[in-house]
Formats: sequence, C-alpha cells, structure tokens
Amino acid sequence: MNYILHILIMIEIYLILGLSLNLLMGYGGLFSLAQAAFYGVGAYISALMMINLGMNFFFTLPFAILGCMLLALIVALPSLRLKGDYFMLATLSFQTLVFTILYNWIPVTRGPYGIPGIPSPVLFGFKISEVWQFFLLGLVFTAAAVYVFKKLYHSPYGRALKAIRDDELLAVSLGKNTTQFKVTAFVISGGIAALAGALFAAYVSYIDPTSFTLDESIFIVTIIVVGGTGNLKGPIIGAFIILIIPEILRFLNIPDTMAPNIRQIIYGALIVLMMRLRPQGLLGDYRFE
Amino acid sequence: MVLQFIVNGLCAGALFGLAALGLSLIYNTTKVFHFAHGAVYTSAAYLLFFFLTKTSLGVIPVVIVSLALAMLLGVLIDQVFYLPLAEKSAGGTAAILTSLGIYTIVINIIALLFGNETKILRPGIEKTFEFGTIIVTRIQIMQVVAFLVLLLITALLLKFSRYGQLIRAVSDNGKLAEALGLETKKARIVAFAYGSGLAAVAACLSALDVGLDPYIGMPVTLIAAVAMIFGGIRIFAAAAIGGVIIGIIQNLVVWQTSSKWQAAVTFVILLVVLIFRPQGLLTPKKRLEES
Repeated sequence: MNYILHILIMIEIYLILGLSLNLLMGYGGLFSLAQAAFYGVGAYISALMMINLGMNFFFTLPFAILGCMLLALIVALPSLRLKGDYFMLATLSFQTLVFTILYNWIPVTRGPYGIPGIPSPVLFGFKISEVWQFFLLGLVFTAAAVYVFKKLYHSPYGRALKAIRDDELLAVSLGKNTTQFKVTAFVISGGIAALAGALFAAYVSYIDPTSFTLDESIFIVTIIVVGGTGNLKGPIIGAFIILIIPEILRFLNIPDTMAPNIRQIIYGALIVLMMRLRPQGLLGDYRFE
Repeated sequence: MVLQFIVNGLCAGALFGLAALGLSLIYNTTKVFHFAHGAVYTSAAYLLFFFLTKTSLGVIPVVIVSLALAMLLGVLIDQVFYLPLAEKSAGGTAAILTSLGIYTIVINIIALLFGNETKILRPGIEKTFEFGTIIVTRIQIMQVVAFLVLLLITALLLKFSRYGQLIRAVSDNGKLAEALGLETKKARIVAFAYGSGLAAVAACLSALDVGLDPYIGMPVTLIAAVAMIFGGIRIFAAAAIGGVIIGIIQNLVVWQTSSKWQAAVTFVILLVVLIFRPQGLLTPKKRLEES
C-alpha cells in the first residue's frame, strides 16, 4: 500500500511541475529547460529555512514561492527578449548555472553532500510523517495547483496568453503588451514549481543537487510532450504515464544496472515518436511548432 | 604560469572550436538545433574505443573508420528524423525535442553496451615537449594542428567548392535557394556529414587524451552552441574562434578560482552575449531574430 502511495505522491509532485511548465509551453508557447531549477531552488529555500531557522514547513512555503517568482522575474526580463531557440538556450544556461551553484556553494547548500534530516511538516500541532499523510498533503497541493491554473486559463489573462502564442504580431497590434504577459507566465510558473520542490523536500527529507539537473528539466518536458499541452488534462495524463513506466519495468524483472538506461531510452523514443506522429501529445490542444 | 593555462585553454578550445564549427554548419544549413551532435560526438569516441580494443588495426585506420561511421550516423539522424519533420514544416521546437530524444536514446544505448564508467585509451605516459616554462603533450599539439588545418580546409571548401557554395547559399536563404532549383536536400546531407565529421575528429582527439564516458558529448555540444552564438551565428569561422576563446576563458577561470566554476562561466558568457549582443561578437549589425 505504501508503495502505491509513494508512486502517487511522486505523480502529484510531477503533476504540479507538469502543470507549471504547461503554462509556459502550452499556453505561452515558450520552450523552457529551466523548470528543474525552480523546482530545486524551491526545495532548497524551504529545506534550509526549516533547518537553519527552525521554521514550520507551511511558513516556508510563501518564501519558497516568492523567492522563485523573484528569481523567475530576474531571469525572464532579459531572456524573454529572445525568441525560439535562443530563449531555450537562455533557460538552459540558467538551469546549468543553478545546478552549479547548488553543487558548489558549499557553505550554504552543502554542495554534493546534500541536506539530510529535513523535518516533517507540522500542521496545527499535527505531524505529517506517514506516507498516507503526505499523499493527502500532496493531494491538497495538486488540487490547489489545478485550481489556480483552471482559473488562470479561463481568465482574460489566459486567453490573451493563448492569443500571443498563436500570433504574437496580431496580439501586439491589438495593443497587448506581449512581453509583460510572457514575463507573468514565467513568474507564475516558477512559483508553482517551487511548491512542488518544497513538497518533494519535505517528503523525501533529504535533497541534493542531482535531483535538479538539466536531465530533470528534460524529464518534466517529457511529461508535457507525452501527455499534451494547452489544457489541464494533458499534463495530468502525462505525469501518470511517465511515472508509471519505471514501475512497469520493475515488474518485468529488468536488472537494476540496466533499468535506468532502458527507462531513458523509452523516454527518448516517446519524445521522438510523439513529435513525429502526434505533436500535440495524447490529450493536448496545442502542437509544438 | 598564466601562459601554461592559456596554452591548455587553446588546446581544449581547439576541440570546442571543431565541434562548434560542425554545429554551426548544421544549424545554418538546416536550422535544426542539433543536440544529438553530442550523441554523434560520443559515438565517435566509443567507435574509436571499440575498434582500438577489439581489432588489431593501427590508430590511423581506426580513426578513419570511426570518422566515417560517425558521419554516417549524423546523416542518418537527419534523414530519418529531422528531414520528415522539415517536410511537414514542423517548427524549431519539434526539431529540438526530437534531437533531445535522439540524444537520450543513443547515449543510453552506449551506456548499456559499454557501461557508465570512464575508459582510458592512452597507454602509459604521453610524450611531452617543453617550450621554456610551458609543457605540452604530443596529443595537445595534434589537437591544435588538427583544428588549424581543418579550419583552413573548411574555409577553402566553403569558398570555392561546389558543395561549399551550395551550403552557403542554403544557409543564407533556404527558401530562395530552393526556389532557384538548388539541391537543398544535398546541402543537408553534406552539412550533416561534414559537421558530424568535425565533431568526430574532436571526439577522437579528446578520447585519446583524457578518455571517454557516455556523457562526454552533452557538455561539448552545449559549449559548441555557446561558441556558435558567442562568435556570431552566421559566420562559420566565428563559431570556431568562439570555441577557442571559451576554452581559454575556462582555463583562466580554473587558474584564478577552481575547476568547479568552469561550467558556470561558460553559461554566464552565453547569458551576457544573448542579452547584450545577440548577434554575436563578430557578426555586424543584424539581430538574430531577424534572420
């Protein structure tokens, strides 16, 4: 039972990450390879505040979210002047920079040793430490993320973002400040990714920089590509499929030394096949251009 | 002391320059952001390793065979994966995602076949030469010589050969080239073959020097991409020179601080260039997005 709950918690975390990237890729048409950076910074802010300042998990959340939103703003302002491949490269650079800093800024992040012993969240004196309790906490977070994005997508803001994605020039001619819309999307997306990071840190109680690499960013992109973008159901189905694949491999008795490589090959093949046969993903509304 | 670091940087940069020149040829001709360049690079190193350890052939025939197979791999990736996308006129993001997928597949197949650990090709200690206080190894000299010779040959081919001119025409304006009845499909094949070949030369020279593991390709490709943008995207030689400059800067950073900030510096350079001079250092006026 705990095994199934564990998988479900990981699905919740990646579902939140997938939804946050969906705002950029599916609605903004912005291909970002930096999602794991915000995920990581969120996890580190929350974990470090809990350990160094003895703060309650729930009080660290606003700091993690706002911290990542601020960071996203700083990155977005220059990067969003760039288009297409160059925006992707700028986010890739940022991702690599964040990883290097997490890995090498030893006095603060303890570098490769990671941060062990992250305390369990406490809610009104009630300690969340069992797996099923984390599952419920994750469910609340996921529901919150789904709610925020549902509202966002049906708001004038969401529709304007879609319009910019489909025809930026037209949106400009209608008097929309397209850069401002895109910066906002990037900032919101960073904040939501931080939420997933904080949840992850509290759940596994140990974080190190290797959880927040470029490969992780590509992994989050895979969720979106397979599930689909431009609506809510795409990333949700994507997170389920992508996270259940390793568990299926486990039941096929593939040796442990080969399993990670085979998993990666499957993910790679899925991306290539989707781009060729179904560029909008399984349930998506938007094709990658 | 500083001279030694500059020389080391020059040698490392020569390899980056070769990979960047290859990437730039491919990118300009096909507009595909070819992350799988890293997979071709890694494959070349492993082909070299495989033939050197499993056959009794000498180094030179083995290098030639590895280069040829790597070039073939590059062309195959294009023909099987990128070309159909281009024909459906899917855009850049679809191509980038496809190339990330191919990179992942190839690298993990290599890891399955050969294992994840680092392999060393160089037996014993490399012959060294001293120039005053500077020490260079024989393979380092070969790296710089290979870079200079290939840069010169590439420049001459681009300028005077039929396919060189075809590539320049297609890079400059693909639609116009097609409308004029030029063989744009052939330009793709030549660009992928030649660009992959350049990456393979760098891979072999690097593998002979510091060994190989399945993950050597991606950092080189990323640096090559930075070099391409740093130098200026539309001039082929600028990418090569960008690679050399990045190699030198990286080694100066190692000299001043430590090797752990090497990667960070490369990407700070990219961010600064993207923000303040997106057309690259050597390209005049025109902004990237306009092309």
